[in-house]
Order: sequence, then structure tokens, then C-alpha cells
Amino acid sequence: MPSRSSASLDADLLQGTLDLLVLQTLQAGPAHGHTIAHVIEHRSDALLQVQHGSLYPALHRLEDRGWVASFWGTSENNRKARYYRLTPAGKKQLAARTTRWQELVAAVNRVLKPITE
Amino acid sequence: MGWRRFLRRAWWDDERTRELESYIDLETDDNIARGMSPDDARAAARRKLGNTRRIREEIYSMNTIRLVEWLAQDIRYAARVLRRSPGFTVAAVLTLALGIGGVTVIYSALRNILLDPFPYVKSDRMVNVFVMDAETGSRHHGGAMGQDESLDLWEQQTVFETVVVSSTDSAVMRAASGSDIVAVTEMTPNTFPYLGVRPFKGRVFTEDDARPGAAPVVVLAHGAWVDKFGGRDDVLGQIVTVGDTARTIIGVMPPRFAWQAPDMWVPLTLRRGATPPDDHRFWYQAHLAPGITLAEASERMTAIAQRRAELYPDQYPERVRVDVLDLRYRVVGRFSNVLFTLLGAVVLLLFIACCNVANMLLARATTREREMNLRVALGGGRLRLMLQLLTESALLALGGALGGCLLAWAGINAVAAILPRQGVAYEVELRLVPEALVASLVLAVVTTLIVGLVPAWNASRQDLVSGMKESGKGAGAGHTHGWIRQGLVVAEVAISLVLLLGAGVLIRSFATLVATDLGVDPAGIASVAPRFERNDEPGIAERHLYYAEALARARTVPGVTDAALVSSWPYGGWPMKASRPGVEPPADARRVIASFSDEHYLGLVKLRPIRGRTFSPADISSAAHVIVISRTLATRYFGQDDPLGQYLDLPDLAKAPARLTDTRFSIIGIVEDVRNQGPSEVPWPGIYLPTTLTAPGNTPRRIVVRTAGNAASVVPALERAVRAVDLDVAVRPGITLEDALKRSFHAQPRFSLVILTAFAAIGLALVAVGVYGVMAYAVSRRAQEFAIRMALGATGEDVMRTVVRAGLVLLGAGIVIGLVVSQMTNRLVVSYVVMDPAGADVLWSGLGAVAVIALVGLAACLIPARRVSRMSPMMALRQD
Repeated sequence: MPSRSSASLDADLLQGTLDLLVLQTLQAGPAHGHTIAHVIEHRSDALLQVQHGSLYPALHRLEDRGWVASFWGTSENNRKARYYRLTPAGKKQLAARTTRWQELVAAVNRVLKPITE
Repeated sequence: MGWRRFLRRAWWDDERTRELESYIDLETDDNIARGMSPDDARAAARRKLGNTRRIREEIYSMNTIRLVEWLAQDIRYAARVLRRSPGFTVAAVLTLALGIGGVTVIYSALRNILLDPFPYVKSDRMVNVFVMDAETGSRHHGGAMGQDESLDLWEQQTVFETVVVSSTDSAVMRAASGSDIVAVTEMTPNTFPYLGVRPFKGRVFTEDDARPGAAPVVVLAHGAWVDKFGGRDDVLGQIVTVGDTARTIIGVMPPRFAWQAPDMWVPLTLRRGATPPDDHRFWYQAHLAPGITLAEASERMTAIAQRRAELYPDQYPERVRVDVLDLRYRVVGRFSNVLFTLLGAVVLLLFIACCNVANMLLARATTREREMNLRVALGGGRLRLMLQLLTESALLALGGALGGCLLAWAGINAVAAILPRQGVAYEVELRLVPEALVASLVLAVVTTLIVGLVPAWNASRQDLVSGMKESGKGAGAGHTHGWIRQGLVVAEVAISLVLLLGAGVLIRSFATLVATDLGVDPAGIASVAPRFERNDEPGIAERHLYYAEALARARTVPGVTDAALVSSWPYGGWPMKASRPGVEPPADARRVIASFSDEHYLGLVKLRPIRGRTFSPADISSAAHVIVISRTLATRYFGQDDPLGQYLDLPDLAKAPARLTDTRFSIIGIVEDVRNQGPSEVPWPGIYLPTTLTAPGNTPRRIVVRTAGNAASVVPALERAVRAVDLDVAVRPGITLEDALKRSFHAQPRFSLVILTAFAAIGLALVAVGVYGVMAYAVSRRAQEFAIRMALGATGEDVMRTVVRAGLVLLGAGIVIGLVVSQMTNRLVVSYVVMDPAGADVLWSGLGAVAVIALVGLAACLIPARRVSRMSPMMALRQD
């Protein structure tokens, strides 16, 4: 298993986040890597810049875990492209991760809330 | 999962490459739509994606399993390295294979023959029970008992769990397929449960089959079933006549079941008085009761036998003892010493082999120190280097192991072919013992792996900078494990000298054994022995008529020049007591070896007469009380007196089967000694008696012929001629005296000789390889030094002398140590295998062995020495 046991919490968090974003993007329907990157950038109002250097390894990892499946298709402008779609396992994973993320954000927000006393 | 991904990692890489290209295409399209020129658009797309190789690598490493990836690389690399030095590889693999194969074969033989020869249950508690003459220490009647005796000893014993009694004899078997001589064992029906072997076919006989009036049955041995009944399934229920009883075949035993080694077994019921007390043919065997030792059992049985001897003094010697012996002892006896000696030798051999491989690997390790240092400098981790070297050693070990298995398989077949059958139990089946193979494999492989790791260890430990500076070659003094290598060579030389010395002594003593003068000339002598059925035994007169007729017919066989009748071969005879009437016999000569012969025998075997005369036809026909004595007897019993005309008393002849009333014999002649205890033993006093004195039915006679040419070619015609005398009398296969000697006395020494010599030769070859390896290596390390010396004016001879001197130091040390060790071990080895090696033999074979090993070692030094002395200095200096 090529997991990086030495990775810091930050890296884990970010990596998990990218996975979550990719899964969320694919919920709208199959898409290829180019589109996925675009959608994430657009929907975050260009706040989140997807590093392509990490997008493709992330896609590979997700596919390896069986959360997304890929196939070759034709893009909008008639190019061959590899499309990804969410698998049932991926859907479950997305739900679980979304919940966990929201809990995390809520928890962090609670801590960051100005002290009222 | 992981493995599938691993196996498809190349495919994935390809796939991702295409995906990344498609991304660039898409991004380029977008950029063009944004108004860039196509070239700019593509360049911008590439910039945005970044380093595609890095992405691919990241994905690839996700797919791979690092250890497996390393291993695959290492195996490829190791195979390449080994292929590059085929000499080293072949030598190492062969060395390992020889060691593994040799140890496995000898240990397997030892295990099969000695430690676990029987397929029977509780075979470790099986004992033989022998009545002994306590005075002489020999077995009374060869260890066989009378029927009443065996019953008494059975009923009164308290030390055995189960007692079984058997009696084996040959008989004529008449079946639908024809008649044949077979060996038949009568045995008490409890023997089958005692041995605990299930029948191969049908059933075994039980107590019911042994009751009086029960239908006669017979159980076949596997060999007899195959040879005499063609291995057919329908033998069960068939009727065969064995002796004079028609018996139903009820079962066939499996192949390794060979109790008493007959062709068939029939039930025996012991009944008091059923056979005369002097019919000693019953063998008494038992399972020792739990908690009883052999010594205790012997003691208690001796008490029983002594009580019985008081009741029947005429059946026993004056002092009686009973020996209870481990069954394995009887079957294997002396041969065990040979096997243990060989095991010792082969363990030495395995040790040499391991030394050699260790040595070769160490030598190589040193030349590769630089490679290792370089790899460490370039960032190779210690684990990674060790893994790679381990793979290399493992490949070698694997090759050695495969070769070892092959050799072991071939070796066990070869040993089975030359194994002397009379030295081992009939039940013995030679096959590889897996534990032995595994043990020697583990030893050899572990040695290889451990030694193989040394360079990695050194490399990771060493200071890189100094390691690189040392530049691998030229710095002759810089090697760290030189002394280990040299020590190993010294050890090898010493060990193989021990082996060579052992082999040398064996060769000499075997030559002596074969060349021993028996006292008679064995060339041109052959013999057949008729065998009478006990039950239709004709009277003594008819028996002598039969022999007279057989002799007459034997003389008519083409090639036969003379024929004679005698009770045994020249190397055997009957032991019996002898004394001069009224004179106490000398303490060391109470027993003599007796042969019964006719008037032709002494002349036929060309036994040199010393004084007096030999038998006349009248002596034989009248059964006169005259004897011919041997030279030893004359000097032992009579000293300075003239034995001719004197008398010798032979009290044993008062008992059965001769039952003479007068046991005094007049001495008519003296002849030369024969080796009546075997070719390598000092002869006992011998006597020759007229054949007509005893009923030959109980003391079989052989018909001995002298032939003009090759004795073996006469044997078939001789057998036919003697058979034709009376078709009801079985005739055993004939044999020449030379073959009989070989079979009885030479087979076992030759076995040890062949194997030990083979070991010594292998050891020598390994030494040559070892010495050569070390010297060649040392020379190559010093090539630059030698080149400089030669450039400064040293001659090729000087250089050679330097190299050879270094080699000779190693050889000399090894030889000295080997001689010292041999002094200790060889006494052991030699006295185990041969009886009494003459001093000169040891000296000469010792000198020979030293010379051989010195020559081989010297040759191994000279080859690299010559090579370096012929090298042009410039070439040597230019080498890296």
C-alpha cells in the first residue's frame, strides 16, 4: 500500500479535501479531468486553484479505491477524453465525507467563534 | 487489488499518458478560443499542467509494490552479474550441489540401513535371543534352538512382551507353473500381529490356521508372487505343493515385508517332542517388555537356560549364557562402522564445500567493494544493497540446491547399485530421507546467504571516501578479510588431506585383501550344492550313492578336469572342540575348524601337503577314523612333537549328527593352512575328516570342480548335470569360488572404498578450485604491484616465485594441520573400516596423499602465477 504514513495533518486534510471536491463535482454527471478542474475553480469563484500535478494522481487514487470509474469518451469539442463518473461506493463515500467535512467545519467555527463572556 | 494494479502498472502508465495528452489538447482548444495562437496555446497548456513525467511517476509509484519491484530488478541484475563470470558461478553452484547431494545420500543410506531398516511396528524393541557358549563367546548352534528348548524358553520367560519362533528352510515347490526351489519360513502365527504389517492381498494366517487338522495354507512374499506367479491376481485360492504338503495360497505380503527373507510363510505350531532335541533350527525373537533393558533380559534368560542345561547337560556346552540383542545389531553389525565413517567423511566434504563457496564469495566481495562504495555514495541504502547481494547469493544457492537435489537422486541410485546386500537387512529400501535433504540444503543456503552479505555490510560500514580512494585494485595490503579466506583454504587442504589419507589406506588394504593368499588357488574352481528335502531323506548309504553319482556326472561336464566332495568352501567349516587324548589343549586353541571331504578334494584345491599322506579311497569308503591336520594345528597342539600317527579327540562328534562311539582320530598327514576364518583373518587350526563319517543330510556337501578354462562358463552345464542325477533333489544355483569370495568378503570393503575414494576425489577437486580461486584473486589484486616490479627489473620468474611462495605457505599449513588431525581421526576411521592396516601401508598412502594434494595445490597456484608473469607491465598498469 503506497500510503504516506509520514504525511502531516495538513497534507492529509488537503488531500482529503481535493478528493471530496472531485467526488462532489462528479455528482452532477460524468466529466473529464479538464472539466473537473474548471468546475472546481468556477464554483469556488477561482479561490481554489486545482494543481494538475495533484489532480491526476488524485483521480487515479479514487479510481483505484473504486469510488469513481473511468471510460474514454468524446469531449464537447470533439476531442477524445477520459471521463470519470461516480460509482455507488463513491456516492456513499461522498455523503460520508461531506458530513464529516461539515462537522469539522462546524467544530472549527465553534472554536473560532469570538468568546462571548 | 494491489497485485492486479501492480501487474498492470505499465498499462496504467500508458493510459495516464494518453489522458494527460488529451488534457493538453482540451486546454489548447480553450486557449485558442481565448484568442491565442495555436503554438502559444499549446505551450500555455503545457505550462499549466506542469511536469507530466512527475505526475506519471507519482501514479506509477502508487501502483507499484516497492519490495517486489526491487526484487525483480535485483534478480535481473544478479543474473547478469552471475552470467558475466561463468567460471565463478559454475564452480560455486557445483560445489554447493556436491556438498548437498553427498550429505543427503550418505545420511539417507545411514538412516535407511541402520537407524530405521524395518517396516515393522516397535522395531526398536525387537530382539534376537541366542544361546551362547560362555567359554568361547560363540553362539551355540549358530544361535538356533531346538523345538523343546524354544518352548521352554518361551513358557518360562518373564522379560518379553511377545515371543515369536520361526524356522526357515528351502523346499521344492510344485505349482501349476512348474517346480522350483523356494525358501519357506515356518513361523508361529502370532508373528504377523507382532510385526504389524497388513497383507498386500488376501489375508495372513492366524492361530486357527495353525491348529492341528486345519487346512494347510501359505502366504507369499511379494517378490515370490511377482517372480514365480507372474504377479497375477488369481493366485489367491490356488493350491501349491510345498515340500510334500498341498497348501492354499491365502495372501501376499507387501514388498518390504521380508521376515526371515523367505519366498513364503507357513504356520508353525510348537509341540514338545515334535523334532529331535538336536535339530537346531528354530529362531527365537521377541519384543522386549517395557522397562526391561537388554542386559536385564539377558541375565534373566541366562538363568532359565542354565536351569535347562542342568536338566539336559548333553545338549549344552559346559558354560551357558543367553544373549538378548537388538535385532538391528544382527542385521547390520559391522557395516554400521563403515556407514558412520562415511557419514563423517561426507560431513567433512560438506564443510569443504561451504568453505569453498564462502571463500569464492569473499574473494568476489573484495573486488566489488568499490562497486558497493559507489552505490552507497550515489544514495543506495544499506537495506537496498543487502537485498541485492542477498538476491545474488540466493540465486547461487538456488542453483546449488537444484543441483544438489539432482545429485542426491542420482547418488542414491548409484549407492543402491553398489550396496553389498549381505551387509544390510532384506527389508532395507534405499530412498532419500527428506529431512537430510532439507538439512543440508538449509546449511548450504544459509552459508551462502550469510557470506554473501559480507560486502554489503562492509560497504555500509566503511568510510566512503577512503573506500573510493582505495581504488579496488593495486592496494594489495588493504583487504580486510584476507585472513578468513586464507584460513578457509588451510582448513580445506587439511580436511581433504584427512579424506585422502583415509581413501589411501582403504585402497591399500583392499588391494591387500584381494591379493590375500587363501591357501588354495581360487581360479578355475566352481561348485554346486544339492539340497535334500528333510522329509523324504533317504538313508545315509543312499545319500552317499547320490553324491558318488553326482560326482561322476560332474566329471563328464565339458571343461571340468576334476570333481570332489566337501562340506564347505575353503574359507569356512565347522567349529568343534579338539584335544590330544590325555593332554590338556593349549588355552588359545580349544577349537578347530573341520571340513568333511573325499579323497579328491585336497588335491583338487591344490592344498600343499607338508608331511604324511592325504585320504586314500579306502579311507573314505570305510569311513576310517583318520584325519589330515593343518600346519597351525600341528604347531599349536603338538609343538615340537611329530603329529603323524598320534591321535586327536573330537568329542563333538559323539553328538548328532555323527553319533560316533569312538571320537579318537589318527593323524595321517599335515597340509598347509587355509584362511578358514575369511581372507583377512588369522586361520584357526583346521582338520579334514572323511566325508563318509556323518550323515550328509544335516551337513550339506558341495560338489567342487576344477575347470580347464573359465570356471563361470561351466556353471550352467554343471548345474544341469547334477540336477539330472535325481530330479527330486533340488540344486542351488552354482557359483565360482572367485565370485563367492567377492560376494562374501570383497563387496563391503569395495563399497567403502568406492565411496570414500569418490569423496576424496571430490574433496581434491574442491581444494583445487579453492586454492586457485584465492591465488588468482590475490594475484589480480597485486597485478599493478607486480607490473611495477617487473618494470623496475624483476623477471617473470621472480614474480612467479613470489606468488608460488604465498601459495605454498597456505598448502604447507594445511598439510601440517591435516596430518595432525589424521593422526587422531585416521586411527579411528581406519580401524573402523579395515581391521589392521599395516604400518607401511599407512606410511605410503600418507606420503601419496600429501604428494597428491601438494601437486594439485601447486598447479592451482601456478596458473595465475604464470599469467601474471607473462603480462606486459604496461597492460597491468593501465588496468583500472
